[in-house]
Amino acid sequence: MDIINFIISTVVLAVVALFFGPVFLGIERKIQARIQQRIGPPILTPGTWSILKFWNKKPFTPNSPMPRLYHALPPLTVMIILLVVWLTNPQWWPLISLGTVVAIVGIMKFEEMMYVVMGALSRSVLSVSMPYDDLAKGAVIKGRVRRFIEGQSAVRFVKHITIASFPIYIGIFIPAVMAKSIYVEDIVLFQGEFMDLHPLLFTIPGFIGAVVYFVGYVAQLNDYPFTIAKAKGDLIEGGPLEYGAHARGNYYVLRGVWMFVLSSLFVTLFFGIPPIVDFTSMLGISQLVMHVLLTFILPIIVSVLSAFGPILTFKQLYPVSFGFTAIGVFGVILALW
Amino acid sequence: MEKDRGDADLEIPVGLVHPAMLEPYRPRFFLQDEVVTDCEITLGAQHRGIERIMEGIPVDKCNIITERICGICSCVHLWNSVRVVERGLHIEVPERAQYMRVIINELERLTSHLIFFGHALEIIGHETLGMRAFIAREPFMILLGELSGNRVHYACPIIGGIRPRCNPTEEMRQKALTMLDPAAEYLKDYANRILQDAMVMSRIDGIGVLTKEEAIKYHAVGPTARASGVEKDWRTDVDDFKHFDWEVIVLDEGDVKDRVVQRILECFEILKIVRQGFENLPEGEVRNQDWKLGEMPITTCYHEAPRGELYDSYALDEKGKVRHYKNRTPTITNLGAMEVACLGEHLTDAVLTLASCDPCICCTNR
Repeated sequence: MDIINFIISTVVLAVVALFFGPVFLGIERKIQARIQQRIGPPILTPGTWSILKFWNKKPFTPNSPMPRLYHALPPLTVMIILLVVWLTNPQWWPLISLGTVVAIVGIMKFEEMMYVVMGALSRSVLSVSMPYDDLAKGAVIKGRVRRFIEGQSAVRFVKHITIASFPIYIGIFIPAVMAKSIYVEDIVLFQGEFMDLHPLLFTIPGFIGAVVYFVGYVAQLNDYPFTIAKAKGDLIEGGPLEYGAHARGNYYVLRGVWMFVLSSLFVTLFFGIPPIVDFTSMLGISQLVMHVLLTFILPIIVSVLSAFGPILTFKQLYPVSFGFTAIGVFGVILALW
Repeated sequence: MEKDRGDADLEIPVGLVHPAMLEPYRPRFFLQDEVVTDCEITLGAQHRGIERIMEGIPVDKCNIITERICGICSCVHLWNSVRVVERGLHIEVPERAQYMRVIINELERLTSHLIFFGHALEIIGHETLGMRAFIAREPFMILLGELSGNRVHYACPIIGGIRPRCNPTEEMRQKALTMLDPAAEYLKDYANRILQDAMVMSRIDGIGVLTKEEAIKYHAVGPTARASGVEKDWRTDVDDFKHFDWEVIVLDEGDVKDRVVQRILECFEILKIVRQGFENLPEGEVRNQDWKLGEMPITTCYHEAPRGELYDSYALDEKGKVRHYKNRTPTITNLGAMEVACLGEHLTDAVLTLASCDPCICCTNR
């Protein structure tokens, strides 16, 4: 019975993530459009319908040295990041002892590294390989290595994951410090039963952790203003630039699922409501519904922030990241105290 | 002092096709880590041979083609081309036509500057303010459409005056004055919003500095030069502008912020000119038909396009056909100056610096 429940909950959570993730993309676009005094697309269009559209387009072969690996990266990453949701599911707690914040951070690191690999593998026609004779003109400096804009994006992703990931890690560890355990189970139980919840969000260190987590969340999504690694002004979209047709659809799935996964983790850690799948009782169903509803909070806030924030260059990114990391450290000290 | 063009580790060519570049040009950035140590821009991907086309065609036809050099600053191209004949053959222009030429031209300058704000803010990633630039621009586009019959390519100046359809009725004049107030108010709020946004300012303050000496050396023109302390505006030399009370905006720092602020302040001077134009619009004819085409020696005219100095020169043969047509637009020297201004900047800021001279490749490649 446990195995069946385990399989059902695993499948249901994957389906929920795959359904609501793309919806978040639509919500983000719709809110930004309204702020920009535009009607904007229907909510299901930028995520759900466009993914279906891309999946049905004629396959596009990227100009990559390893096109199959390049195409495999988004589905592979989706499978791996779904582990974060699964690890926070109570059905997984007795079966696997990986349900810790340390394991979650490790999985997040993998997702970040994928973008570096994408950047290294993508070679669009929009820079070095553009068929345009400009070498004959002769600059002051000659004979240097010519790098694709996606290659530069890979370099920026390395810098980005070194610097801008600190806030979300600190944000994840504040609940662990408060619960005095790295196990997600203990963090959830520390906040009480579903009918008698005392969310960490409503404590001072918990609130600080949530704020820091939110900043890290935006950085993880490479959304405005933390989109230097994919800056439209120079790098266009960076590593994912060459995804076309079904691969573009897969990339949108990855982006949507990543939004859902991080939002789900936020609800688990700061509201104490894990993504439980229990269709045998109203309480279990209510808990899953409440969990999904609360995952909408972060995408909505990030949409508003993105609409009003320009791209931060590293000159601004370093102080912002260090500043919020310092605030997070202050939260950790408060949590210990 | 010359900026140091140091050694570079690598080169990143960008474009021709690129979302940050509204038109095709090819910058090659030479970088140490991500800092630009040298930049070289290649132009010419969309050369249309306008100057060659002009050779031997009737001057009226030439003027129509001149307007097609650019879609953003079409009026000033046409006006300057018309001025060449008017100067060479000593053709008088009625005062009412002079006023209307100025009004249409200045409204076009305003819409051009607002496109620049939209583009610059899009590049720094502030899409909301970028899109609001087009909301602020729309009333002026409507006004241009109602005054001239077209939102773009107004075809207003003709030799000896303006087209009769650009001659506003009293009702239209009153309507234009009424339309100006709310549009100006929105523009003022919009400008304040840009200037008070700390994040936007942090992206443009101190970036891409072009000193006054560099601006003079590389012959930066127009708002780009005036933002670096060079006090030169060809409108002060154009007789039609002598009816108006306005100021040349000159700033000192020469960074991207000043190039934005200069244009913002210039927008309000433009509004001042347009308002004076409608308020003091003289009665009378808008077209002088008392002239005859004939042989004309090479004649030169300068004007102030939205991006800076515009030069037109040609001669007419005895049949009134155009000979030795030459046209020089401001972007070529402005982009040359930006190659220097972007040295020492982060790659992302370097792209912003290039865009901050409001390049118009359509004019440049012509």
